[in-house]
Amino acid sequence: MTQADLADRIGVTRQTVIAIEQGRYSPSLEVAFKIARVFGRSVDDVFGYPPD
Amino acid sequence: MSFQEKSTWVMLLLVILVYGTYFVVVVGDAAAIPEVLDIAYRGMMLATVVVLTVLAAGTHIVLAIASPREADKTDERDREINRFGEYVGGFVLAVGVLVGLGLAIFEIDHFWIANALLAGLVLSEVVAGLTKVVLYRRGI
Repeated sequence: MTQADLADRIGVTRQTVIAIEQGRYSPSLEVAFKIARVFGRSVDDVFGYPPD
Repeated sequence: MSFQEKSTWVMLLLVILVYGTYFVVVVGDAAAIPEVLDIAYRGMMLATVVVLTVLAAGTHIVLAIASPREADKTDERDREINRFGEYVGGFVLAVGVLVGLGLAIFEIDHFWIANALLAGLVLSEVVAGLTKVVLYRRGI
């Protein structure tokens, strides 16, 4: 799947997908769930959050 | 760059160029001969707005033709960046309004009131645009 494909499936621009991957943008909860659903995983599997 | 980011850059540059020209021409001369420019500045202001509108429309058509699949797409990141940029610009606009208010209270010539208000508006758009392009590059 290309970034453009993923972007189209979740309703954001390709540049936003890149920004998410590079940590320059935190997606909304809705978009995070959509991304996880595309990959058939849970949000925790797809996204990480640094420990304190 | 997303379509909205390109659009933001284009508008920022156009506002600086077109209104920059207006202010250099009109306010630069006005310090010397305010009476002569009394009518002229209104015509110039109107012409400036028309020129900016035409250039903005033209460049956006070119942008859309260059990337038809991305044309006019706006997503949540675009909206969030736009919102924050406008929020920052709002402070500048408020200062401009206060300056205009002060000039009006002291009954300074309307030429200066009009141009102070316009300058406030233009500066707020420039600050908003700059904020947005920084957020697009650095992240939000």
